[in-house]
Amino acid sequence: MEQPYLAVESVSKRFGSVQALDRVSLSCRRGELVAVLGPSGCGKTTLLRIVAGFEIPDLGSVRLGGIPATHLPPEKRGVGLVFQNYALFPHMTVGENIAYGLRFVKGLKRGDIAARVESLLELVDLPGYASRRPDQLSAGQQQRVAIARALAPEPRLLLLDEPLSALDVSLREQLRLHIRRIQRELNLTAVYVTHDQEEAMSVADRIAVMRDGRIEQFGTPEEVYEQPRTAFVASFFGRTALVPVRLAAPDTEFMTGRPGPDALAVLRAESVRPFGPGVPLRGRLEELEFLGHAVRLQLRGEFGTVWATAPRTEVDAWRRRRGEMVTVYFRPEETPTVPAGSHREE
Amino acid sequence: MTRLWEAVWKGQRGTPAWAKLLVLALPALAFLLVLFYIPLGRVFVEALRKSGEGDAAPALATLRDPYFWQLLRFTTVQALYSAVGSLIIGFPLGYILANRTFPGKQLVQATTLVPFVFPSVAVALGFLVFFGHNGWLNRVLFALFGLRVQILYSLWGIVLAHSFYNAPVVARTVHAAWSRLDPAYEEAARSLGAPLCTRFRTVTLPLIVPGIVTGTLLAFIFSFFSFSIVLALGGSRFATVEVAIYTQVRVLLDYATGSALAMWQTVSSLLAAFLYLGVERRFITGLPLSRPRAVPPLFRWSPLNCALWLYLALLLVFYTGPMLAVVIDSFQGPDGRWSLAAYQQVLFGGYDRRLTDTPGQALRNSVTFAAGSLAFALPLGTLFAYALAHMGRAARGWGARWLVLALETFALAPLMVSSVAFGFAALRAYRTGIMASLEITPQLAIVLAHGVLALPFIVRSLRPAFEQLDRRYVEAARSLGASRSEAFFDVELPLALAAVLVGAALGFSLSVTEMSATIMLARPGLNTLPISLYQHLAARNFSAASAMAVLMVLFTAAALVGMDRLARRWLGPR
Repeated sequence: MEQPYLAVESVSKRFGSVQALDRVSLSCRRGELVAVLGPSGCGKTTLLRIVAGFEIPDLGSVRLGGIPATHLPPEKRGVGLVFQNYALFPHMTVGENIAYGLRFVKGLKRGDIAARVESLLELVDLPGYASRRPDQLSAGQQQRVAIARALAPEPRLLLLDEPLSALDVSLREQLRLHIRRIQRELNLTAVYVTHDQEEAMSVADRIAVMRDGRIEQFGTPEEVYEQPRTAFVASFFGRTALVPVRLAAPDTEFMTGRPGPDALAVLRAESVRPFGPGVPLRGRLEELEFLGHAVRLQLRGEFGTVWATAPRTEVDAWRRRRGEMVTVYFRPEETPTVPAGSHREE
Repeated sequence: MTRLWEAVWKGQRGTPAWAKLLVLALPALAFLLVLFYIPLGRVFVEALRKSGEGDAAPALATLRDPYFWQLLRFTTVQALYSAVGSLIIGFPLGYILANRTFPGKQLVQATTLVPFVFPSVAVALGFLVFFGHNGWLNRVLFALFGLRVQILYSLWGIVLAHSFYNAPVVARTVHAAWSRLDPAYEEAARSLGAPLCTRFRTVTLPLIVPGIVTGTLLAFIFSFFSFSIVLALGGSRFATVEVAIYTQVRVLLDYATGSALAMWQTVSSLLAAFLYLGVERRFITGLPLSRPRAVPPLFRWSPLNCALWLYLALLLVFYTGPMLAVVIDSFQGPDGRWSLAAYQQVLFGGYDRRLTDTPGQALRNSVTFAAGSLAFALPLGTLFAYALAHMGRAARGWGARWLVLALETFALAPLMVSSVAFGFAALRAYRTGIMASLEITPQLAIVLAHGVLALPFIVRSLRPAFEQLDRRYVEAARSLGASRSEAFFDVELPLALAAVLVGAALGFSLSVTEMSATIMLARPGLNTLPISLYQHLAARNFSAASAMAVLMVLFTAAALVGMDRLARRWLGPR
């Protein structure tokens, strides 16, 4: 198997009394985009800053392209960084911002620099913007300039720190596709930090889910979604109920593995339906939400609260049944289980 | 027409009622107009009026006088050197405050406020005692190397004193600019491959230039209009325009030349004020930081930290040296032994022909003047700052923005206008013309003058507080049924109370330490602490002056600490 391009090995970092990272390992192959996903304060930004060289880990090592880089200063790493608030130099034009990293590339002529700036602006769909000032651009445009600036010195690795968190939803969806396209086109190796699970799923080749300074699971989006290893990972994606297996389906052999007696069944709203086949769950219909493409039902029974999804056409029928006892079904062979005690702490 | 009136008076959705805000600003404007602008206007009239047929007006006559040009040149040159000196001394301190932690940092940070609250005449005394011919520095040098240096009574003595006095100003502005600089910019430059020097030159420096420029400009302006230090350290040979006005009016009684100088001094100070506000306005950036700036400890080995160490040690010697010298001097008797004679003399010496007022009387005067001036300046300044903040927030387009800038300049001018010129103007105005019939007593004259001078400090400390106050608080109060003025008293004023108290403290210490305007208005029986100190100093009675300085600083500090305590009690633990 190919050597990983970025290898973070068992890295720990402590700030005062806070253990920001606890023996975290992460790898990223050439041309791969790895998303680091987790709630705020989980240590994902610290991990990114260690890879960028702004923090030095207390323990563990970082290798870039096979070379030890743990103590390499940021300016020697050849790692491009896109900041959460873009950090475009306010006293320089867009062109000067993008050209900044080219100052430190040896043997570039003035003409080369101008041509490179223009081609990068075209890459991010902002041709002719070189002479604008950052404060004359919209947030989305600034974000694209920040990407162009990070790409200018042809970094070996691109790091993106919550690059879209300051933008509104529709722009976010548009720009994440844009980032993915650029990453594929240039065959970039990239680490993408986000707290938005949908963003991580859509953009990444692999996802590392982080919690309290540890990586809970590291795998492809499908793996992380379909075979969550902990309750935290399971509940991070979508509206999900975690129901003890003995309550949900005491008689059923679960298909995926043989769960222990305290295992939790991962019941995602989209895989629980108000019709069979499957294992029935009976509970009182407490709430329902019309989502446009479907209706989401919230049931409460002896197993706790469970969400189910009904077809959008049935919204009126379900509204009339609010407060009544209803039955929903799930298929054990499609339902993953996770060990108990790995529950998300709220 | 009605619609226009409605818009102006009631305000449209999202815009404030300009006319209402102007009404709030009016008392302060009237106060300044009557007590500041009209008196200064009279000085202009006097300076521009021909005294007889064939004579030129004093203001024009002065322009033809080489003495005036020499005076102006010296004033400018020493201010330039002093500004550069302040930058050199203050810049590293600003860097350290923004980028390092060390034990006692809070204390150092607090002492950078010293130039604003410390009587400059005490600084002059410290310099005399420390750098003087028989001062501490020379005694040490003589003991070690058998030589003495002549620093005082020269251009360099004045420049040195001004540099040390104003360096904390530069340190403050540099510190502020540096800590507002988002570390992400420097990190971005690093990740793009920029080495340390390039990073500093191309990213850090351009972004903190605002702090450097405003601080250095302030140091220049303060040195240009400095009075007490030049009066005490300049000897007979060196005088700035400020000192010259005082000499012309209070010593030579030449009111014509005095008014001419005062006029030119006022013109240049207004220009400086306008320049400063324009510069400051251009540089305002209030972006939130993406992450707090890292402040590693200073006491960690690195070549740069060692240099900073050395620098801090030197600062400690040169700042505490003069202070210590003053304290020790105050406990020395005429024979050089330890003694409380100086304190005995200033506290219980009784009437002294040279000194006119006893210290007890001076202290009483200082307290009365400070309290009186705050009674005027605090309410007027609060209302004005409030109006200005809301106008500034809503100002759209050129006209509105210029109106706000003009109003601000109008109220802040006393901060910048030469205090000696203002003192002279007040002196003339209250004795002649219409205002003579008001029979303003000399006590009231000083109180009003201090009120005029304190007003800008209060406006400056309050305006940002009102401006940064989240308007949703007011909107919440209004939606719960509070009227506009109830919302002000229930929500805005309590939230801005800390700033009100800071303004009051600044106004108080200004009144206690102010000397230049006061010395123009004072007369026997009305001397304040700094004037009393200066008289001891001028009589070359250094021990008594030192004792006086110690008492004055103790009093000022006690008053400020007391106010701080009071503020904490009012505001509760926050």
